[in-house]
Amino acid sequence: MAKNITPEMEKMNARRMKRGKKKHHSTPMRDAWRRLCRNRTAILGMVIIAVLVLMAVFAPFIAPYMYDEMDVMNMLKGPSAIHLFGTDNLGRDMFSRCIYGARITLPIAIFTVAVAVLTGGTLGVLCAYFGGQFDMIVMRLLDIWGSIPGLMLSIAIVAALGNNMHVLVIGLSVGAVPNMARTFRGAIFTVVDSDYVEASRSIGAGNFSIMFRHLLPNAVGPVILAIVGLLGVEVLCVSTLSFLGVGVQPPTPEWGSLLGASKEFLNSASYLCTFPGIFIVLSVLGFNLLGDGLRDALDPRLK
Amino acid sequence: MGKETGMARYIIKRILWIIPILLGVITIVFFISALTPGDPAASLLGSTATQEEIEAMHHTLGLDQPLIKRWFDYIVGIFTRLDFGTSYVTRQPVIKEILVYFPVTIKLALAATLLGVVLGIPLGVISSLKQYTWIDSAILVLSVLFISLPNFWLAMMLLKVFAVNLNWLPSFGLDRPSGWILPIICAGLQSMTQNIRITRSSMLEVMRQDYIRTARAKGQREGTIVTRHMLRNAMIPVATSIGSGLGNQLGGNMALESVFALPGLGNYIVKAITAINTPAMLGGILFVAIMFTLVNLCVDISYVLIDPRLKTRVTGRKLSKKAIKRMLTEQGAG
Amino acid sequence: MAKDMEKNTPVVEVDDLVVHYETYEGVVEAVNGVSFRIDKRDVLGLVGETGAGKTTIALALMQLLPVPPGHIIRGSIKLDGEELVLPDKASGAQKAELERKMRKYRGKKISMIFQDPMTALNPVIPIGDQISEVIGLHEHCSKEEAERKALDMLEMVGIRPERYKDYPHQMSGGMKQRVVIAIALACSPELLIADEPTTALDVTIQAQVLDMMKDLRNRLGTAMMLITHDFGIVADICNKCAVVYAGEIVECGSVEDIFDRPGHPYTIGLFGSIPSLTKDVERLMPVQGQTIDPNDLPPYCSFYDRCSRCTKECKEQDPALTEVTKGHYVKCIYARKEDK
Repeated sequence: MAKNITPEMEKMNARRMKRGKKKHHSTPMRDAWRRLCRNRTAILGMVIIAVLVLMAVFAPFIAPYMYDEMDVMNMLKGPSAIHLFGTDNLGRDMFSRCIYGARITLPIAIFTVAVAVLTGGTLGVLCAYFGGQFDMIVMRLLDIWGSIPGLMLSIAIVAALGNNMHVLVIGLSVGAVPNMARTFRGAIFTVVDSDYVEASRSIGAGNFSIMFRHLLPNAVGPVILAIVGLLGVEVLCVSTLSFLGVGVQPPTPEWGSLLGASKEFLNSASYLCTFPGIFIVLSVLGFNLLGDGLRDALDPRLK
Repeated sequence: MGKETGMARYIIKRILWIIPILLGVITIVFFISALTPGDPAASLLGSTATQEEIEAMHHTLGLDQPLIKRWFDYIVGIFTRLDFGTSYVTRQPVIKEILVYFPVTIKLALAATLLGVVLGIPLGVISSLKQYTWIDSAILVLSVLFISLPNFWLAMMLLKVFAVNLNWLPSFGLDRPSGWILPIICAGLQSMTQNIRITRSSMLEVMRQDYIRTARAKGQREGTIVTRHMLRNAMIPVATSIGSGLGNQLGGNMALESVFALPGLGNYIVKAITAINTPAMLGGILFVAIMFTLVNLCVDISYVLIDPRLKTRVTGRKLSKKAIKRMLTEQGAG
Repeated sequence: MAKDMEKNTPVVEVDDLVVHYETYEGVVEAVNGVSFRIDKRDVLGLVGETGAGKTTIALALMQLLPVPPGHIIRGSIKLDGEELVLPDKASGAQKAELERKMRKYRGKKISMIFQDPMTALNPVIPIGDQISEVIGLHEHCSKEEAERKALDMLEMVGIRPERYKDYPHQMSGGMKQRVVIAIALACSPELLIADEPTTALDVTIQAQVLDMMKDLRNRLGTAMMLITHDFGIVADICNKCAVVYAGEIVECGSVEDIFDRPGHPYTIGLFGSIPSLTKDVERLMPVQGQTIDPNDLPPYCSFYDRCSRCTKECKEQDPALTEVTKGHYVKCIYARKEDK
């Protein structure tokens, strides 16, 4: 119903009819989720990530060969029907190696983010919640910690502790902790002074319960964005380290180390350098698109 | 007058703060590298070395001292004599080698940052002014694509096309000035994307402020509103991003240097790591960290100079340091 | 009516103005068929609850509606007899031409004091330069002269000239509001729109600001449109008053008409919710219910749901503005019956 019906309103009504009459119980998170589902960027990002994850899970069924299977008759052969992405200097099928690569790069990135979020996030939440001297000291230490470029710090740790998956995860997450802590702290700061914290304290909720049941859910927007952004960054870091020969070592088909190993064939067999790179780009792109979409969906001003 | 002394006080305080930062950085990196497994003396002398020879080597390398003493000597050496130790491999002072490699890294970082600013800020401004048009979408698609590219892979692809296939540019080395072109493009695109995104979001934020409406209500021309009223406000967060971008370039172009075989600090560090040349690695990483810290210092100080709000807050001394820090982080996030 | 026309042409004349905000979530009917005129020396008070569409009317006059989402659906706005609303099918050139014209008028012919002084000033430009900017744009004078005039303006609004180089964050809310006022008055506009100019100020400064505006009207004959929800201010400075509800003018007339013989149940309700010093009232009678959702206006009287006098007939039609006495209009089907 309206005073002055305009074409725009009729369009709107048609849209409303199509959506059906079910009334949503509207909460901020649900609104954000609905906006996210409307956001083409975010959907594209999610689809890319989903495909890559499925690829990692079902690698043995998708890959035509084992990642270390050598075909000595076909070494350094370009893309063909038998070897979609061609073969490397040992006759290994590049397509299979790329597929299996998803099983290496993605888990390392995800675990790295998990560790960084758990440690950095806890530090940040504690800082914001207790404030005062504690906050001051921890933030100063984080300033020092953050003064070493993250990638350098990761390299130093991996170089010192030897390169296996665990060390790689620890090394990479150490580089990411200061930023994570700052993000959590900043996000919580914006809600920590609000009335509902006072309210829950007045009904006798404990410190721990206030922190994780009340503060965290309300600061969730910037935190989610930071986490999704970090996933993309860590995929890049894992492959950079492996590319430099510091991270995952050659026989294992990590995308970065595949690139590192094919570097010398850039002149003769450039397809070896092309395909692993495309997979890195796709996964980083997936996370970045999802992040951009999320940013729009979580911004209450952009309805 | 009060303003100026307050300002100076803030800047001096900020400069003094880098001493504990450097001490902390040295300590962290020193102890991490001390964890390196294997005996450098043994690997230097080869498998034929006798126990006596190895012990003598330990003594020359100073490895027979307790760890704490070595740490203390190292710090004293750096602060008094700029002594970063001696390379295991070349037996040269590490600082001497660093000063040979560092110019390449800093030149690349500066050139890339410059390219990123010159391209990124105008594109970001255009994108924000043309919001909801295909121009904006195109710039956004390009920027999300570029930010997802590992720069070393981009480097390889560009090398393949421009050096191998077309043979327009040299594929490695800096003997000719044209050797700089591809590295700078690869490193600069990253910084450009960063600038586009921050400029755009900052501009969009500024555009919906009330004071822009006030400027329109004065009858000001749209062009002047952009240059006079929007840009100065929008550039405040962009300035920090440029600074931290420069810092990231210093520490993040290792893979790029490796692809182009540039004699830069990143390459130096990677080589030192593979050769278990601990003093060289330690010195290289520390040097980058020091530069990184200095750049951040400049950013913080310039920040206070750009934003009049911050200036009086700092000099008015009504705000605690914490509050200033918080303002800085808020600005950075916005 | 015809006699008025001869006397003087209106500074601004608005006829059947309809403004919508079109967002993805729905169409907000912000202004629905508003008509009024303001003559030289007139001070029109626009009264109504928050969200009634008062600021939207003001922004439409300034041609500063945020587009998108704002759209002028129909109607006409005549500034000094010149039409500011383009027909639907206006070409790009026409739009550019109008925008060019408006740039010349804004700040000079028509200027506006914005609601929130805390955000209306540019944080990185000294306040004096923000005043001289508008002078430089319209008065064709040298930079030095513009600066001198800006200093005069500062003095006029009671700010010491030493503060010319100060930044907005160094000033209190009241001072910022005075700077905003100085900007609006700098080129002695023919029409001044003041959007709640005193809400952010304390009482003494409120009085000063109102005195300043009165003085301006008396000296230069500036026409004004004052947006407020404070009847006290209306009584103090306005000679005409329009009550806005849900984007419609439900009652308008001279201040005496509105204050002494309010005809619309909403106006009566508004008066009922103001505490009075002179009358001893048992309790205040606020308007019942909630402000109507401008996303979903009924085709009948918008005030129906909250009206204490509504009948079945009210749901069958949307009443027109009816003239009850000369120059006093009420938008209620019972207005005529009571008064005639």
